[in-house]
Amino acid sequence: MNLAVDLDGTLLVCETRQSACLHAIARSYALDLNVEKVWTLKRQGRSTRAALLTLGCSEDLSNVLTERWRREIEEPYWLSLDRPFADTHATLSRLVASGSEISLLTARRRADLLAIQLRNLGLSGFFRDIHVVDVAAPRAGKANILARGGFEAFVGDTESDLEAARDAGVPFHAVACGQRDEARLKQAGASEVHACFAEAVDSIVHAQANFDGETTAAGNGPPA
Amino acid sequence: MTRTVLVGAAGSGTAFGAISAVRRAWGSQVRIVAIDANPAHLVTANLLADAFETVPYVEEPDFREELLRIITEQRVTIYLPLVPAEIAFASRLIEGGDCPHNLHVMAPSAFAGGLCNDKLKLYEFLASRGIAVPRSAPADAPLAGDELFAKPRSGFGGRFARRLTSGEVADLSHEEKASFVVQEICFQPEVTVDCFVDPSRGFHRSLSRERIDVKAGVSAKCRIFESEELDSIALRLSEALDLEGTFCFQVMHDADGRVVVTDVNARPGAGTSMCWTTGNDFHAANFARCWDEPYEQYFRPVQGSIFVTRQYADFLTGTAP
Repeated sequence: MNLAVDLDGTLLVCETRQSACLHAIARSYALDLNVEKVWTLKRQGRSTRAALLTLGCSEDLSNVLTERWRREIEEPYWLSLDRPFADTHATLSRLVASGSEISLLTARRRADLLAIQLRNLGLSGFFRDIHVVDVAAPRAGKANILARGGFEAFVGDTESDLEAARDAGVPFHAVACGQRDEARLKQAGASEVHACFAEAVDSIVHAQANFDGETTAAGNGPPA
Repeated sequence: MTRTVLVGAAGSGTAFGAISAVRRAWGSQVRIVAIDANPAHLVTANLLADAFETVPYVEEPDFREELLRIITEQRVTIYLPLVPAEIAFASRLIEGGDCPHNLHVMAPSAFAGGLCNDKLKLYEFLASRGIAVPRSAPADAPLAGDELFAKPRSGFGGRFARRLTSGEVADLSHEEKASFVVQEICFQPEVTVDCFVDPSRGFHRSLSRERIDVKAGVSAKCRIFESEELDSIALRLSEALDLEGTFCFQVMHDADGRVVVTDVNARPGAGTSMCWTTGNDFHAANFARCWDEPYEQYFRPVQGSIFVTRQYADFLTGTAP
């Protein structure tokens, strides 16, 4: 199986770093910011800036906090707060052991730090390819990779991932453990929403087995 | 019940590593209160904490009252002291029965805390238990020898520690002679051993860090490896000093090539967080044990040697008009 997988929010817990960084920036201005509420709003679909505005921060303050957050969120220290989900290593190991090939598809500013991070987290050996797309245009960047890769599925955690898969004609499996919650993903049009990466992979494997069975029975071609 | 952790000496590298580990493993599920003698804008860990207070130094008379006030007001459930004097203070607080009943203090017995805060007494005790230590003596009644190594009996982080000739030892000030220990010169490599012990389950884990380069007493470049010999010493130290959870110790070699214990810290070290890059998070395991959570997940075997280097990170901590 040839699988494409997103990183932040799909294989890595993304809340910790995002919230800790925003919390720290707020504290540097002696502000008491409820980052849990910010996170809830982001999971529901808001950007960091929009979440701050919703919580009553002024435009100026929201702009200052957001601008710093965007500048600092991929600094090495904050990256060190990332950790894999509990099922990440086991699921990736299972896929590799079964002969699957996994390509990592992520939107990051600091591609140079990504390799270090993956090594620190014990993840770098799982991927056939690692593709880093521009954070300013993740949908287009990921769609371009997906369209050329012959992937059987893409697993991601955002509507941007969903749209990229749709643009490329690749089946998409959403996980609701990351940047967006289940409601937001379904609202964006995701038909397959799973609790975690392991469940997404189980679903993909099951669908693949059904397809292989039907192909064998029918002799050729995909099912109608 | 909300879990609230109080971390002392929050301006230290050890505190920053411990607080980072809590945030990494538990995110915002744990409330963190940080205290330090410095103001908030000079303590990086303040940025990660939910609350911060500037407190007197532990030696000052108001420290106790301030500490107990913060513990009560912030509803602290776990207290992690990190400098030797504060650890010794916390140990005495526990044994004096002065801690709130629901507070867990990550500190050893008053006896062990006192020993770890007095290197000369520590060496004497360890030697009595058959654990090899450098030949040592108080600076006002020093060993014979052309060159000796002098350090404060109650120091940490290698502060004021240095090689001295016998003449320079004799020329130490009255105060230094009263408060320093001198010992035989020991030889590289200097290795810090990070340890985790849970005697209730018979579980232990240690990892050795050869200090290839040191800045201000803290490892900046390390070779990390497993050692059966040093693991055995870790267990003996744990048993001798009743040390549980995460602690660390340093070893070097004496003139005969014997491994000797040069320091024991009843707490994680400032370089302990370097082990995290190998998949071994001693800080997180320390807290997981306090909360009766599985800690085995924070450890992985290390094959051969792993080199880890550390660089500073810059943080905007405050502004002023």
